[in-house]
Amino acid sequence: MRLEEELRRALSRERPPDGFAGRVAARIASAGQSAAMPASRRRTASVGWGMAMAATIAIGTVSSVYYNHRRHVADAERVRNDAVTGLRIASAKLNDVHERLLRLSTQNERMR
Amino acid sequence: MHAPLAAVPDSEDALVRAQAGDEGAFADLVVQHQAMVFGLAMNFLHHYAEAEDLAQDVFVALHQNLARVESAAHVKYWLCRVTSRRCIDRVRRLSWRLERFTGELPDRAEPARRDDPLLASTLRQLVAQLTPPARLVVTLRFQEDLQLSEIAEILEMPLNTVKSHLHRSLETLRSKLADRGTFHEA
Repeated sequence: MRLEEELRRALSRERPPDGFAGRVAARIASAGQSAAMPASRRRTASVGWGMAMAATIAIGTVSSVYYNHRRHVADAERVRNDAVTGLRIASAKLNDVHERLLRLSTQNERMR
Repeated sequence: MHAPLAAVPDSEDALVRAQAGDEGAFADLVVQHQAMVFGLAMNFLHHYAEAEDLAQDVFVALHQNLARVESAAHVKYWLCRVTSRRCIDRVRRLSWRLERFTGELPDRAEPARRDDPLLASTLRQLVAQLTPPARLVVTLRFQEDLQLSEIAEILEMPLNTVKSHLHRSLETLRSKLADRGTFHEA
């Protein structure tokens, strides 16, 4: 094993939570584009913006609920992985102890 | 002048359309680069929500600066550069909050890998303990496989500084792994 290869595996790219691109689009939509619009068009556009804002809020709410759900799933996944890792470590240690006990008992028998 | 990072063939078309105001094309750019940007943020910050927030900030900034982007290769370079800067800014601003997360490490949503999970997790923990500039150098080098000259340009650091960060970081990681007895290099 080479450290560089292990680092490539450990630090690989990671997909963001589902719906990331949609949340980016929502943030862009709400990022104050009205500043660039001429005053004469603002009144006409206000209804459209109202609808866009409502849609953004709705998307944001749904995304937030879904994001929280994903977080719970991720938490559960992490706990499961930690538990598996813990069991592997415990198993390795038990094997080690078992081998040592076997070695000791073999030595004791030889001494007799 | 920016580093010659490899371009994705379809990105050129997506970039041109996004620059012309096609929001669908911009969404394609986000999808193409989201794993890189989120991965850099996650490997640096080790905090899921902060990493997503930072990645969103970066893409909002890209949308605002699309006209200045010259090519698809420049998109990747630009994203690496802005993500790196924002990572440093954010870790300064949130150091008191993020400190807590360098010890336990992160809730990754990805499926368990076939590699040694303990070693990967230990490595991420040890990388999280490096200084912010060293952590960025290591992350850009091993997540994105960038050349040292490209990293130097992205981080606006002299090449020798990048080399020294990388060399010292690898020595530190080797020594800490040896202390733990969890890794033996072939």
